[in-house]
Amino acid sequence: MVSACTGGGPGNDGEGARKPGDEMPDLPVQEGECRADGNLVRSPMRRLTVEEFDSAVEDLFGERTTKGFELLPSDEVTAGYANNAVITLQASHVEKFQLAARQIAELASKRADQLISCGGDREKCVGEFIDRVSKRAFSRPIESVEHELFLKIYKDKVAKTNHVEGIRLFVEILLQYPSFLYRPVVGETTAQEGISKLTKWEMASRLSFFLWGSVPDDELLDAASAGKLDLPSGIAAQVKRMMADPRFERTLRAFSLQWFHVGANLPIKNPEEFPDFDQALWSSLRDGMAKSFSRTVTTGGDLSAVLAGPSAYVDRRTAKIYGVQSDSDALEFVETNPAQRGGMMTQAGVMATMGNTEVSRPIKRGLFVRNRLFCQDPPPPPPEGVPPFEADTTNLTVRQMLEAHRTKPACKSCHAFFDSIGLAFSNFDGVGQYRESEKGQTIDASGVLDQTDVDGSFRNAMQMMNLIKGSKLVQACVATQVVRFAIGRLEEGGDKCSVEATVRNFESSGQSMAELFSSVALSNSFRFTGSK
Amino acid sequence: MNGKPLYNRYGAIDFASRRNFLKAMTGGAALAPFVPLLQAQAAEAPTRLIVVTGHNGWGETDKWYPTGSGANFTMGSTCNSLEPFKKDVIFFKDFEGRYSSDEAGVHPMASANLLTGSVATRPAGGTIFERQDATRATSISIDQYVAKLIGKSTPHESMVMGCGAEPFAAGDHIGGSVSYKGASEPVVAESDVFVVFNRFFANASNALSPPSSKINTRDGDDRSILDAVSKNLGWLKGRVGVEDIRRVDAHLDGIREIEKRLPPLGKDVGEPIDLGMCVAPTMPTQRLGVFDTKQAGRYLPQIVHTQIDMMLAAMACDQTRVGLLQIGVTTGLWPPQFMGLNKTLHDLSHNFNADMARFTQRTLKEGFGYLLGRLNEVKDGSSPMMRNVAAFWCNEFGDGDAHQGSPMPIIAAGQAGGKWQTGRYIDFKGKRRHNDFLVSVARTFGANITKFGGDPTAGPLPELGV
Repeated sequence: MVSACTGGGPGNDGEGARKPGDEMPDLPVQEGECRADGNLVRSPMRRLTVEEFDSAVEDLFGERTTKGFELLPSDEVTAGYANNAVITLQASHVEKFQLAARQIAELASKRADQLISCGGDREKCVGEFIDRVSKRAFSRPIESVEHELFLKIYKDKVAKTNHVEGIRLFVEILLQYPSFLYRPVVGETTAQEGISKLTKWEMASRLSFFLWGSVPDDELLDAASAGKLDLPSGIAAQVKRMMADPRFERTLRAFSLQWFHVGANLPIKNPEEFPDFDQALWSSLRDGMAKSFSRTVTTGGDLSAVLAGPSAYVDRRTAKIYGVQSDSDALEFVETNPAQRGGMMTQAGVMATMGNTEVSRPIKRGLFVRNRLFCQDPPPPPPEGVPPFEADTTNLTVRQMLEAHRTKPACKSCHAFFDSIGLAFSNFDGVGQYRESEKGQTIDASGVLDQTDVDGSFRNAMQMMNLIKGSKLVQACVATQVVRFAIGRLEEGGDKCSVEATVRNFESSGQSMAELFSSVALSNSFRFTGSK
Repeated sequence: MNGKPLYNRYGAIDFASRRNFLKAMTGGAALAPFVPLLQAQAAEAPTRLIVVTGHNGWGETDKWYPTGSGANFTMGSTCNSLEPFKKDVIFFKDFEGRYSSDEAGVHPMASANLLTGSVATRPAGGTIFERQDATRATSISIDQYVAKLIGKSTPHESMVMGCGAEPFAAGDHIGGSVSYKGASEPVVAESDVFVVFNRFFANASNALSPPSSKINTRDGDDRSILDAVSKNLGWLKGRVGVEDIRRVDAHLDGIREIEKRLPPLGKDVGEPIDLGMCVAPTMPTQRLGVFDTKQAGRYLPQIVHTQIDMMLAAMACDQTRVGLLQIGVTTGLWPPQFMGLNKTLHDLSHNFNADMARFTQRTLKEGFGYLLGRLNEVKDGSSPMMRNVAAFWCNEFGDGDAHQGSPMPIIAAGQAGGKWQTGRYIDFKGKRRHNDFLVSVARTFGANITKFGGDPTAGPLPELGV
């Protein structure tokens, strides 16, 4: 990993390497002359996402289930990511957690002997089990009243039934316990008014959910306990360890799927046009996309590899869409034809999500690039409102229809903003398959990129993406996306210096994606929270 | 009550008897006791509220409005399925919804305005992509308002269901919610009929997860769990900030609501108790394709009929007095394949008005129309349930293609225990705030208010007389 700071050099990033902020660890790092627009805002308390719930169950009890995915309420999207940071749990939601907890506890309690290997006093072993599992689940040591309560519930249950039932009931409580389901960020006040520093336990939790999408392990909690997470250098050491762990792929998967808005549910296509497009194929497309992103990041890939690198994972289901041969049930790495396809935007999963039931969807694709790669908003519609579009469009191609739109002044400002970018992807049909022609006509995907810092003309999507990958706006936007994912809210004025520093680190690392994740974990917005 | 099951057996689905179904699901154990309130029907039947929502507009304006006036009118072709129930209906022309439309992504703004009568909120930062997903209503919706007024005496304050109200592709569905307990507290419409069945007609805790033996090993567990959860919420509440306290409190409210429904200790063992005259619906024995929540576009009529039957059964058994059924969702990224249409609702509403009108016609028939038919069949004491229900259908848009919440279509039905005079076509000859209607609905249930939601209102509609 390359350090962006002045103190540490390449290859000197292990434990003990000094980091900016080590001298005054209880205050935000002063980023040059930068002045924020106001204080940091309070970090919202987040509830586990469905995916995090399933991963936490796996990490705590050693066996993965899909109960969260099957039974829990869908995640709430805030700041563009599944953060569950605003809306409330109501009785009907609580019932779903009850049900999931009940089913998982039944399964886990069947393995009670494996979970609690005990040579001596069983009650003592159970007490230790309760402490150990709770500490990881809550990312803090269990309070003594909690210990007593859980142990009493266990013992009462054993008195009426048996040991396995007692364990079952404890697990069932744990999985509904608010300290497990919620991750509050309160912090401790600092010398700077309005700013609190995350407690060591909150930091352990924030790190593990950011980098592993799950609860901390004992090593991270030990580091927290020893005060190591109080210092940027101590955090950096853990970050390095955590990013080398296979659990980091969960984060890369969750982030990439959410960044590109590729959901678990099959986008419905017209079966007459796309008869093979089913849930199994969709899962392969999603998994392949996540793997491709993950591979890019964990092999030291940079932003240009994310945006235009010729990487894909393909199996026998998705081979046809990607135009390759495969008999494999498992996803296998392939290099795509770099003139046709490369980078995340042209992953079939992304193109299919932003496709229609029947045709490609240039407006959606174009707007997505503006919103999620450039962080640009469309201009407001004209004050007099947008009139209905009344021209006869029956025999027009999508491109002709959009051209007709742009002749109307009231439509022009918005459509000029996204049409050209969207039409660049015309070579990808509704399920993301590459094609040269449509209905007997050669596809024209050419256009002009404007209102950016890398304006220019292009003949197709890959030429456009090769322009886009050089954009400083995109560099800043991608860094911002990781920040939003990490802190569970939109960046605000108080985050200005922190985000700018993250962007600078990203740039000076040669736009290393791994360095970006690491840099976010060390940033002020990650380590501190507003106290008002 | 005539003692026959309220449930109507639909199509070729294999239904087991209720008792067999429960037996299969529970291994013979544990049913929550019912409160057969309607048993003798000695007391007056309560007035209930039923809301059915449609989304993305009516498709074609000229097919929407009735001809004629007053008591003498004929439904427009989109509403022709309601023609047989004209005597029970009040058709309004026109209401005006209000929402900020100064930027793109107006769909969830309109949807959040529909039943709350307030302009929704979204964060200031980010781009339209992030703001649209984060759109939240800023006040309570009329169904939850009425539920607070009249729902305290029933096991469930309300029953909020949805068909195709969930995302069918990547996309947000919180922003598509219409029911809110308060600002940023959406009541997400439950689309799984099994979940609803178990919540209302079985002891949800036991029905889906059969105990491994015939001995009920769970006796008292739910109480212990909820106690521990409540204690921890109390601990959390003392530590977090104001905005998070709101969420802790809501969670606590949820726990209390569930505790209220728990059977007494030792009583959750044994045979199902006799429901007396109140008969719960039957359910399919397994998750057939029809009730897969991702299949709403294929099986909408079957799902909606089942949901309406469950709603009326829950009301007949006085499990709840407020029901909401959201059919579809604003934007709506799924195609109504049950009609042979392969374009998404959103696409239909913008580019295929004739098909959108057909969709609205058909969903009115299968949803609101089916409801009205059942309300006339189901006896509630000595009269049909229609007499004791205040129902309405509404849609966030009239002209969905133009994203217009004005005119906003609302059709009311039922005599509301004698408070509503139905069989009328009321043309206001000009716009009337839809908040005026929401005020009138609240007053129908005894609220002495002249304003509902944040938008301007002229007060209750004189035409409704409440």
